[in-house]
Amino acid sequence: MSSGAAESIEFLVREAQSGDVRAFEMLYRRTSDRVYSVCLRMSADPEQATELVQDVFVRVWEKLASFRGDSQFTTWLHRLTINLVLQERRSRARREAREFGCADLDHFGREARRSMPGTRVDLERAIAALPDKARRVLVLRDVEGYKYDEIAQMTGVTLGTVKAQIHRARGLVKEALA
Amino acid sequence: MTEHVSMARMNDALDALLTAAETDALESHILRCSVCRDDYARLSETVTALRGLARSATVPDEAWAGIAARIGTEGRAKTGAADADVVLRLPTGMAPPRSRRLFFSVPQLAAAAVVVSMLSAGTVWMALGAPAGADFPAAEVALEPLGGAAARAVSTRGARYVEVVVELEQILEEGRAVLAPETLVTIEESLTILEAAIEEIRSALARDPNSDLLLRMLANQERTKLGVLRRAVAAVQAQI
Repeated sequence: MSSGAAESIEFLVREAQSGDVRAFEMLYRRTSDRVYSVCLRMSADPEQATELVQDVFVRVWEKLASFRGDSQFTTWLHRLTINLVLQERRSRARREAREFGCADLDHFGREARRSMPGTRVDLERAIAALPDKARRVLVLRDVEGYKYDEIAQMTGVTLGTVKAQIHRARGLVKEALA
Repeated sequence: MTEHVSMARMNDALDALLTAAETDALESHILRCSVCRDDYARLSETVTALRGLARSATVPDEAWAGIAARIGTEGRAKTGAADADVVLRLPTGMAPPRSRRLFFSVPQLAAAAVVVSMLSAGTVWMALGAPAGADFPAAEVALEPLGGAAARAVSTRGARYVEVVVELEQILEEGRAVLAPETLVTIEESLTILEAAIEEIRSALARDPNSDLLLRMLANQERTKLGVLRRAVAAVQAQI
């Protein structure tokens, strides 16, 4: 396989499906930033987000053979990422075991500044400070652009609950920025 | 509409979920009501800002190493450049952990590289046959932190080290034809792994230049590489 950024995602997927680890690494380098942004915002925890990225790509490697190209790889990857983040229960356990305090927010803010130069850190911190469920649905709706019914399906809660959580989350972010 | 507009209604408006008539009524109200106008403006600004956030974030460098270790027997260790040509391979027969979650800090990554390289160097030792009394290279990997001066002393061999390595590599290159192909492959793979480990440690040192542990690890890896080269050259010379 020749190297270089010119290889298409489709080509890299095909090569990785045949077991080419180098192609898979190139695929990772081309797509992991998008995955990390989802994981970072939804978990509000840089270490956990990195672990989630690792989990996502290990899962991709394991499932790649079953990817038939019916949808775009990036769409498939994005959905797989969100499913994995939503399945993640350790975040809740971790948060229940500790207060999410200023130090955590500062840590998150530094990582947001490093990994997303130019982002509004005050806004990122306001999202990170939200309760877990509210933060996840807000990110899915307003950052990732999913519809309410899609979010209800993904999270397994009613449409009304999703709407209420998103409205509440928006209100909290609005107040935090005031 | 005489009462204030609910936040739910404002949110529905921002999500384009209102009918045309409902939208008209809301707009009509906020033109007359400064409280709702301010609330709506702030909510609208918030939602607009959320929707405008970047959807890409630079993943930490160390993430790939954990993935590579979990998906198979080889993976490329990122050392800064996106397409660095450093390959971190586990020696044949060493199964990767498949279900453990791995996240390496910089010193851990360097230490992992050291472990892999030591296993590899051991393979060379076995392939070439260790002379009586020779130390297995793992004996050199005592990673107790040294004092600062001592640690720096072991890493100040720079120029002489490079000179010796170049000389040995040249002898090995000229004598590769006399070595059995499988022996040559073992030696070359081990040297690649050792160089990857050295590069990994140097990369870690660039970020933490005062780490005695890293300096000691670098010295050990350089010494091990030297040992592998010397053994390989001795094997070449024994055949000539």
